[in-house]
Amino acid sequence: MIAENVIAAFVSVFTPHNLLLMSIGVLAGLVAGAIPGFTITMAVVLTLPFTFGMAPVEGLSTMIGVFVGALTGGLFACALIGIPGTPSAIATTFDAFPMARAGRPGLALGIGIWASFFAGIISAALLAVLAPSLAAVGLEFGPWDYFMLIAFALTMAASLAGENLLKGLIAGVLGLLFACVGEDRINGVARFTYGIEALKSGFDFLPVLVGLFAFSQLLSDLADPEAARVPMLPKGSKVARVDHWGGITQSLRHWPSLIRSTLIGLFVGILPAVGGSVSNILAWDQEKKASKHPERFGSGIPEGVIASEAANNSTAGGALITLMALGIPGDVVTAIMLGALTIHNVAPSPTFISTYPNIAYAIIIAYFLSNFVTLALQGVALRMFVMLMRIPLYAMASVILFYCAIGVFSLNNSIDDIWTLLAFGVLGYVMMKTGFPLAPMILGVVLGPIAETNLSRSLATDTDLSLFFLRPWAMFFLILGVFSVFFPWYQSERGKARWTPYYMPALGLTLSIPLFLMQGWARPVFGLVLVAVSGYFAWRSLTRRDPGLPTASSAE
Amino acid sequence: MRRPATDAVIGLVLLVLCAELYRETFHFRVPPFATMSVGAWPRFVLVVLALLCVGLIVQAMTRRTDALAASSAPSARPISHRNALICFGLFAAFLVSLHWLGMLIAGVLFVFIMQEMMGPRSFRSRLFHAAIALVAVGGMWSLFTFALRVILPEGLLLRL
Repeated sequence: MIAENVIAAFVSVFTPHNLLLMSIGVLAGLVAGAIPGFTITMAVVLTLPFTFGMAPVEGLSTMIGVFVGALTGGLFACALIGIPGTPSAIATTFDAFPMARAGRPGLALGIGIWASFFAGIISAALLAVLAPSLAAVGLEFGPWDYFMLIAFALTMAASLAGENLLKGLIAGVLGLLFACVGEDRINGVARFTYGIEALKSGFDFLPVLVGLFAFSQLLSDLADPEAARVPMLPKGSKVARVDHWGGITQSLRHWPSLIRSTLIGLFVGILPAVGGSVSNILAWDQEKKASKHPERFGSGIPEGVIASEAANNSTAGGALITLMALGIPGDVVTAIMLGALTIHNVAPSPTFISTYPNIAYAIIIAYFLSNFVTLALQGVALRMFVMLMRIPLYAMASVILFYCAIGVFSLNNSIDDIWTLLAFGVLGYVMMKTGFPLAPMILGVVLGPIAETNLSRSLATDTDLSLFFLRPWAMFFLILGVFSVFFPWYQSERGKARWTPYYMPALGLTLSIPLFLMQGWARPVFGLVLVAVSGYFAWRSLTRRDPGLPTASSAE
Repeated sequence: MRRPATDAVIGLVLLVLCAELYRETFHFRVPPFATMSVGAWPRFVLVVLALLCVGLIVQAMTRRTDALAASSAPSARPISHRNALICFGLFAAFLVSLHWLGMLIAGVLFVFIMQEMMGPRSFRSRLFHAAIALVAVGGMWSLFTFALRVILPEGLLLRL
C-alpha cells in the first residue's frame, strides 16, 4: 500500500511541468533567501498567488522548492557580506563570514551548501519514516486533545518572543480574534461585521499574511532612508567560486557535528510553531559546547558552518512532519502551506496521510528532490544574488509592494483584499515597532478556526469541561503549554537562579503522569523511563553544589 | 520611558476594543440547534485578551521606574517613520486610483513615484526609475493577465 502511494506520488512529482515549477521555486527561494531582509516566510508568501491555478501537488512542490531553496540561500549573504540572509542563517554568519574574510569564501559556501544538502536528505528520510508513525498517534486525538494541542502551539509561539511573552500571547490571541471576523464556519452567522458586506467572508488568509509579513517587513527595511539608497554589494563585486570538494570532505570529516545538528534541527522543527530561526542558533551553541576547542567557534571553523546550516535545513523536514501528521504547522512557513492546502480544499488533520496519500507522499518526495535541485542551481542563484544586490533596496521594495497588491488581488479578484493587505501591513508595521512578534498572530489566524471547530465538536460530544484537562493527551499538551509559558524565565534565569536545574526534571516528571494514563504498555514504560531520567537529573542537581549559584543561606 | 508608556496605551486601546467587541457578541444572530453558542468562542478569546491586556498595562506601570532611569542615558537615533508613511500614503493613493487608472497604469505610477520619493533625484536616476517601473510592472501585469489568466482591474479612463 505504501509502495503504491509512493509510486503514485513519484509519478505526479516527476512530470516535466512539475520539475520545472519546482526548479523555478528553488531558484526563487535561493535568491530571496540570500537577500537580507527578505525572509523565507516572505518568499513563500509571495509564491502563494502563483500556486492558486496549479494542482495541489504542483503548488506544494513549488512552495517546498522555495522553502528549501531559501533555507540554503540564506548562506550566501552570511558568507559574502556578513549579514544573515534570513533569521534561519544567523548562526551561519558567526563562522562563514570570518572564513570568507580569511580568503576562503568558496570553502565557506561549499561547506554550507553540502551540509545543507546532507541534512536535507537525512531529514527527508526521517520525514518519510516518522510522519506516518506520528500520524498514527494523531489518530488517537479527540477534539479535546486537538484543542489543547493548538493551545500548546500558541503558547510555544508566544514563548519564543522571549522577554515579550505577554506581547507574544496578545499577538496570538489577536490572531484568534481576527479569525472570528466574518461568517462562522459552523452555523454561518456573521460576527463582528458591523454591517460591512466585505467583512462577511472574513479576512482572507493571503492578504493578512502578505500584509503582516511582506508589507510590514519591507517598510521596516526602508526605515533608514540612507541605507535604502545604497546597494548592498558595490559594482564590480565578483562571484565567489564554490569549493564543492572542500565542502564535501569537510562535511563528511565532521560527520558527528552534521548528524547532531541535523537531529537538533529536526526536533526543533517537530515542535509546533518553532522554526529554523531557533534551531540554527541552538545547534551552533550545542556544537560549541560539545567541541574540544570551543574557543575557536566564531573564528571561521567548518563545524560552526555545518552546525547552523545542517540544523536550519533539517528543521524544514521536522516542520513538515508536524504538518502532515497532526495538521498543525511546525513553523510559520508550514502555517502558510497549511493555508495553501485549505485554498485547494485539502484539510490537514491527523487523517491527512491516509485521506490524501498522493499529496502527502508527494510532499515528502518534493522535499527530497528539492535538496538535489538546490544543489544543482546554487551556482546560477549565486550569480543572480550578486546581480540583485547591486539594485538599491528602495527600488526592489517598490516593485515587491506592487507585486504584493497584484498577487493578493488574484486570490478573489477583489480590490477589498488589497485594502485588507494595506490594513494588515499598517498593523504589522505598528506591531513590529512596538515589540509585538508577528508569528504567534499568524498561527492564531490559521489555527483559530480549527480550535473553534474542535471546541464545538468536543462540547457537542460531551459537556464535561474536565475532559480538556483529564484526558491523557489533553493533559500532555496542557503540561507542555504551561511549561512553555515559563520557558522564557527558565532561559533568562538559567545558571543564575536555584530553581532552574529542576525545570527540566519537573517537566519530565509531570509529563510522565499522562503517559501512565495512556493505554497499552509502551507509553507507561516510556513514562517510567522519563521518571527515572528526570529523577536522576533532579537528584544530581540536589547533590551538586554549583558555587556560582546562590544558595538558600546566601540568599538570606 | 517611551516603550512602557506605549505599551500601557496599547493595552488600554485593546481593552476598550475588547469591551466593544464583547458587547457586539450579544448582537449575533442565534441559530436554532447550535451545540455551542455563536458568541461563546469570541467571548472566550476576548476575555483572555482582556486579561492579557491588563497584564501588559500592569507590566508597563511596574517597569516605568526602570525605564525612566534608562531614559536619562544618551538615547539611540530615533526611528524614522517617514518612508513608511510615504509608502502607506502612496499605496492608499494607488488603491483609490485603481478605479480610474487600472492596475497597469496605477501600478507604473505607484512604482515610479515611490522610487522618486525614496531614491536619489537626478536625471539618470529618473530614467532608471522609469525603466524599472515600466519593465517590472509591465512584466508582472503581462504574466498575470496572459499566463495566469487573471482579469486585473481596468481603469475607467483608458480601459487598460
